[in-house]
Amino acid sequence: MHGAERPVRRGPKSRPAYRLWEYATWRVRMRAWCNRIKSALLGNAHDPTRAQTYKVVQSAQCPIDNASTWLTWWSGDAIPRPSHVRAAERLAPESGTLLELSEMATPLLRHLVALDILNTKFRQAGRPSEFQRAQSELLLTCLNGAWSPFLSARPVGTASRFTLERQIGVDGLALRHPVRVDAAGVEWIWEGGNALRLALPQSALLEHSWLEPMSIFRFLGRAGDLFGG
Amino acid sequence: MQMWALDYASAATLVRAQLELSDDSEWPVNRMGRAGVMYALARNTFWAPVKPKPDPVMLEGACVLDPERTIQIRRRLLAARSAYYGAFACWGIPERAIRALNADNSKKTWDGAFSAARARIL
Repeated sequence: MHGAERPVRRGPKSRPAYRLWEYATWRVRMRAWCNRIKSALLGNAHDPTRAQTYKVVQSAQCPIDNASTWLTWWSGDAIPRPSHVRAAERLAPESGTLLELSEMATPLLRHLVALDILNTKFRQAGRPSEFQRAQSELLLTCLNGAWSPFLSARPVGTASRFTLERQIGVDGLALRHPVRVDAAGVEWIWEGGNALRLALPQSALLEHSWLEPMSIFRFLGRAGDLFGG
Repeated sequence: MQMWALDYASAATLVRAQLELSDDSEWPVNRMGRAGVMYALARNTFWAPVKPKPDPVMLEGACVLDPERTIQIRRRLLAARSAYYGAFACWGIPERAIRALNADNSKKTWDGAFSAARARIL
């Protein structure tokens, strides 16, 4: 067969298949990514439930000029080109993390990873159960790290990827309900102890052990008291 | 609240994945002690259908965890449910899409279980 007669398979059209099979949350990730872009483009006119295709495409800063591309992104039937992801990143900083399938920096991204673990039925290479076990361990480590601003004996450094500002955009001290700290607690904070740890209910602290990663589940089961009520 | 709700749901999802991988039935939950109660509470908070009346499982579980604060625990779990679905609603993802991902697929055929979670978001 001559080269000219060979049917040409174009990459972009067939790219999403494996990602959609392997990662059940792909459509959810794409919808969230589109809404990040749309929010930056349309401001107050942004409606997260509608594609608003023409408003998006006609925006001056829109990274694409093709309505059908936007609709394919909106329905989660495509993997955007890296150049488009970079353009979107300039428009909506950190929007690209939504498409990073192993990213666990924020609570929402961690939950998407958890849902992917639960729904893994197919892997292009390797057994689904092996993937599930390996990813579960990673997520457990991340969950422990994510709550370290509350659990560590010393305040978490500003360079940590798990500062509360990085995770949820809020300073940890603003999260607490008023907590009565006794003299020993004040002395402990004075000596460099983590003030946020004192905001945690004692029942939750007793459930957690750094030596047993799964204990983060029992900790979270009791940590609701942190929010009063 | 949203961080706690999402991470509590993530940790419970991990427990659920481990239970499904164990090839055992739901019985291990009964052997998990307090963790089993917390798992049952998480399951009824995040995955179970919303009921108009107070959920007896939630009330019973809360009572086992802390008999003096049953109402507060229930109220907080309901707030966690709102925060959980609210977090996705902000991104234009409807509750039914998240419920499809969280659904119990054990009774479905392989094909049904596979495609429901990957269904288009309408």
